[in-house]
Amino acid sequence: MYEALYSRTFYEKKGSPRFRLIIEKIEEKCDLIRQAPYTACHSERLKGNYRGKRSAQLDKRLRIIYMVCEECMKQGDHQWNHKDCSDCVGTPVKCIRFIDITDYH
Amino acid sequence: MREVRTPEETIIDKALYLALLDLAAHRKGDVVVGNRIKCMKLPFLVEYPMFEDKKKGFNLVFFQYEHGPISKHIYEIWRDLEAVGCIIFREKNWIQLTQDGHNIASTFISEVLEDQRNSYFSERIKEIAKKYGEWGSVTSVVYDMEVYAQELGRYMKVREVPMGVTFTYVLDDEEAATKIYIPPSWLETLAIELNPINVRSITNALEDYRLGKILSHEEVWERV
Repeated sequence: MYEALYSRTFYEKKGSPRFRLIIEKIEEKCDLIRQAPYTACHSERLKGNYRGKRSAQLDKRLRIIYMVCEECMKQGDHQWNHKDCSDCVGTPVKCIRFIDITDYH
Repeated sequence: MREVRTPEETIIDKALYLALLDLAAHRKGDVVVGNRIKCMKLPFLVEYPMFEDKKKGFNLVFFQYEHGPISKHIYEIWRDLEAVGCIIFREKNWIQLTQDGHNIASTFISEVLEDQRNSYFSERIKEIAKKYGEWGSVTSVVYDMEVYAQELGRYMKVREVPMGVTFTYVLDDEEAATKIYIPPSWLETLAIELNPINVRSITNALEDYRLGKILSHEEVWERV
């Protein structure tokens, strides 16, 4: 299982009234992503300005956006992403950075 | 056929519309595509023949209104594209494509629209952009089009169609002869990139990582 870090935005959204009823589902999906970050929940690698990030299906209308540190290093996204992570040095490679929960539409 | 679009269809419409604006603006050698009326009619010129041929590209529902065919979906697209910084309204009426809008559109065109599987859709959009991009107004072209008025069950000129009559619906996948192909990775990307709420939220979340506002798994799931 990969280690996991979360942005404050993700944490606050998870606890917001909108997501309170599906909080267990969010946790379940995060665990699935931690087990298989490249394939779980129909994970897709994003393009363009969001290169280096991934989108996984929470349900039909919601997505979990995250980064895999290992992939970031391997794919050379490090150059692109390094400004996003203040704690890059010293973070284990087998780590998932959960960024956000977004709408799909 | 239906009037309500799925999330996927909403995303596809925004992306195709942005591509159409980019191609039309480029033809004109300018960043200003045209006024609101022209920018409402251009997608109709693209979509109507596709709809007739059961080719599922755009999913905009057009109906007859005061100045010809309009779609409420286009107003939603304008709102979102303006909010994400892809277009700006000059003097309230003229639509200008921004550099960010051009960048997103040109990457989408080269990586998705020009995929061989999308040749019909690509050619159709390029044809309309080439033909009418430089024109000041396309209203008379639209008014002279022969269309099938759904509720009346017959063909007639757009100018003769009564207000409120529908020209196009959203085609179901099963009734479509072909459908535009957009890779899942692109759909996921566009769902963020062309949605102002998502753009703002992800920007804030990445700022959290920059500023060290980071929580561990235990902290988030309250197991500390």
